[in-house]
Amino acid sequence: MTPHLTDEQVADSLSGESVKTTETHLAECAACRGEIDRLRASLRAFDQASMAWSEARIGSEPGSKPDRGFSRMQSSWRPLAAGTLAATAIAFALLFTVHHRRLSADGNVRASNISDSTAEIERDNLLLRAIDEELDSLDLSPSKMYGISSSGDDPYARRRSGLRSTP
Amino acid sequence: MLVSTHRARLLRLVTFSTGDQDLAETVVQDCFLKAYRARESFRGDCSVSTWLYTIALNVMRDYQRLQKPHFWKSAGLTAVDLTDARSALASQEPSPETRMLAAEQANRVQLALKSLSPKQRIVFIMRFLDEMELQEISATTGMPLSTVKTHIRRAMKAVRSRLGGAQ
Repeated sequence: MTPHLTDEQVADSLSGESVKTTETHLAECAACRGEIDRLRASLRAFDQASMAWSEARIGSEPGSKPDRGFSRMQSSWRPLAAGTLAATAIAFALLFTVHHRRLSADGNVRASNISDSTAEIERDNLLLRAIDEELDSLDLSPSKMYGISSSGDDPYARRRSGLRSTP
Repeated sequence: MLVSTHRARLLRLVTFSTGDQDLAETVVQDCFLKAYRARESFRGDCSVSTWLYTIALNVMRDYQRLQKPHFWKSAGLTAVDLTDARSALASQEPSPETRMLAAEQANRVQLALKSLSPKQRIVFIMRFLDEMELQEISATTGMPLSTVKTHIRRAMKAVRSRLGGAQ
């Protein structure tokens, strides 16, 4: 049995640089094999732990935590932010009140708007009814809708022409 | 994509070689900024990771020049706490006993790293954690291959001694 591996030989073995004599010794010596395995296990454990630490560190940076800026704002800018919000709310309330009073004073404008809206709704209803009637008159079976029908009939063409001809 | 792939490894390298996690984050950010600005000069004659590692080491040297009295000294002051990373080990080790053993092994390697010189730490991490080839380490660090091998052997000797395995 040759003497156990030196530090240099162990380092070379872990680096994959071991020479034949080292390999031969490792094949015969359980103690040195155990030593190499133990070192490999330690390095693997540190590799995993340090990489996990690094990834966690990156994950905890400000860019990856969107609530961090908000928290900082809450602590230092909270009074100012609250004041700004309150002032904005009061300004909107005043504007709404003034606008509402102006509309109430102009009765003609309001009546005209209502009249126009009723006419528009009536026109929309006429159009919707026409579309409904046109759709009811079509045979919209799936086979014909997707052109599977052997009759060569195009329901989309019928539908398009029907819509155009509807007054 | 480039950032997310390499950032964690770069952060680990700089953190565990300088021992200063805050400084490491700054170095890594500067590294990516320099890489972005110099992206046109990357001709693909080495891997992207080698290119980034080279930039990171240059940035580290710049910082070292600027704050030399405190640069490596800070390694012990803001020591990295791997306690949080134990959860990562928990997901990879089958039993509580092996998890505890892996965490202990990781801590001991971390302690052993502190006893190494800065260059030994860098070479050690590149070789045994990032699994870089010796030639690649030589190209990245600018050290001759023989110097890289010497650093690896001395680093492993120190780590082995700290882990209680030196014979």
